[in-house]
Amino acid sequence: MASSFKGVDLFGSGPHRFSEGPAGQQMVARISIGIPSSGSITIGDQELIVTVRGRLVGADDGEVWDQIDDIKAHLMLWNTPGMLIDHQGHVWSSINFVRFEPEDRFDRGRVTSVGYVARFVKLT
Amino acid sequence: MLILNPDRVRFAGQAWPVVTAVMVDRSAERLVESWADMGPYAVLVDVAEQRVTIRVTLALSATDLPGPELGAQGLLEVWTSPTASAAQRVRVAGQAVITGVRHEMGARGVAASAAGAGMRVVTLAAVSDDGKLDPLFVASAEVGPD
Repeated sequence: MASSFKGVDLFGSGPHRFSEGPAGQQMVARISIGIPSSGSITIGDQELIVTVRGRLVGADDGEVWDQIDDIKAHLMLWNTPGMLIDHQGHVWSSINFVRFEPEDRFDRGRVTSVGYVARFVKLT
Repeated sequence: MLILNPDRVRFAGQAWPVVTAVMVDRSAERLVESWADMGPYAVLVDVAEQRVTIRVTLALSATDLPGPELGAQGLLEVWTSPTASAAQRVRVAGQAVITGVRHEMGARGVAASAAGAGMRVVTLAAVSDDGKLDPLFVASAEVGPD
């Protein structure tokens, strides 16, 4: 099945993979919050981070740029939490799309493509 | 591409005598290979950057001091035909830069069997006009100078 965010197949033009970051407690050093002693304390659950690494593919540069523009629109114009679903149907609900980072170059062979890293964060 | 005993070879307007072989190798300089979350196999493979290397083997029968200059760029032209006539003759041509010159003596017999005891292998990197066009083009040369 195609992956989606808020029901939109943002990354479907090319292969992409999902990975989830570590889970646990957010820790800070006591000294960093004004407590003059050694060690750390927990301040709550760590934010869940989901990373999508993949490659946008098009017939030419224009097709790839169109996809990047669409992704940027989701990232910047409609930055509200939504449902992220991977290829296998795994769901992350109420997660924010916070960052999209294309690689440093377009690759132009039989097709035009660019690698990217997209980051979603479940804000606490 | 392999051309054995071409009719004529010219680089930067200068004829290279007694060429026994011209070999054109292509390799992926940057390979795009991507996998998805659906299974173990790559779903996208593409050659985003490629290298075209030409090796020209010349037979040498006498001392040859200067030799081709590394870094020199010019039009490499190779004419070849299946017979001694101009029928089906083709011309392979393209801009190229000399990246290596190597010499061997004829113990292998290849050079010794041609015109002398020495062999020179000139390696060239093909250069595209705009990065998109294949740096080498092949055209019929049935009509033209012998």
